[in-house]
Amino acid sequence: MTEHVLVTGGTRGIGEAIVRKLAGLGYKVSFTYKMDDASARELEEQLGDSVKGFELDQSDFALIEPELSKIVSHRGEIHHLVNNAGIAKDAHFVLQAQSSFDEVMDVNLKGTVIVTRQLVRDMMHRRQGRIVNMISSSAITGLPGQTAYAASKGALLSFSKALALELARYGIMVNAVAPGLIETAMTQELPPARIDKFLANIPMGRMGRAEEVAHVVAFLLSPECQYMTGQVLRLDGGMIMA
Amino acid sequence: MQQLEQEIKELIIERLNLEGMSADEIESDAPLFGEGLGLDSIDSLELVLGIEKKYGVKIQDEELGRQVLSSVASLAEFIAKKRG
Repeated sequence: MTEHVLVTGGTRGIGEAIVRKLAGLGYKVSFTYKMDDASARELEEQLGDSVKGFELDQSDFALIEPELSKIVSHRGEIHHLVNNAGIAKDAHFVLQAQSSFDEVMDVNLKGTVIVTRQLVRDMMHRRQGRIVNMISSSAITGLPGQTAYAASKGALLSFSKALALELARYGIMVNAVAPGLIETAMTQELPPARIDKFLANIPMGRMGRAEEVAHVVAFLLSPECQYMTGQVLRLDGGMIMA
Repeated sequence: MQQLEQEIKELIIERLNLEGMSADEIESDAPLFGEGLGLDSIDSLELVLGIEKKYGVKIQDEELGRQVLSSVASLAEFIAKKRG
């Protein structure tokens, strides 16, 4: 049986790399995206029938249930979930509008929670499933300008651990992946001076690539990964060491 | 309704591995949790999944769960009502 994976936020950056990687490994992949129709259709065209995109703004909570039901009815039951959809709205805390802070929390945390809740029940019935939550180094160390992003991803990290405890007895593994500085559209917006400052703190001396993150996600979904739950895998070139 | 209650008792025994227990030993009106059968919250979730699978009725939130799962009789009533 081909396993079906849902990747949220699948048209750009790390999400896109995950979709490509999983499709290449033979999974049936459905992904969500916000507005980016052209990229979604392009991905479908390139990767063939095993891949299909569905538009979903997961900060519009009322849309989540019907859209996920649609994905299941069109594409079949979802075995694994990669919670990748996320936004960053960087600003100094005192200068950030509350609405902007809320927007980050809505997409990164609350939307993710609602998506997860809907899919987890079927996984419990099947007594198997993998959930991978994409967080960030920022969730672990904090980063100036990222109070909202760090808070949302930090909350997702704690959520992963508690959920892993609740679901372990149902054969469901929940892990988090914390990428550091990865070459994506999100990091391209950073000023070069800031990137240089980051690189000075990365022992491996370079940014990571989205494909490198996708490999780790693929491992967490694979049959080779059997005895790991509630963990955070850090991919940051050695930037943070426990 | 009696037939449904009997089915639910069998489901509880099977789903919660209450080995050595028979359906006759579970009273329809006795509390399932705490006193009575003495089930815990993990059992309750297991029961929710069992009911969902067998009867296709979902128990989505805590408050409803507390009411519905209070006894075999309340569960039977809920399922009967949902099934119309």
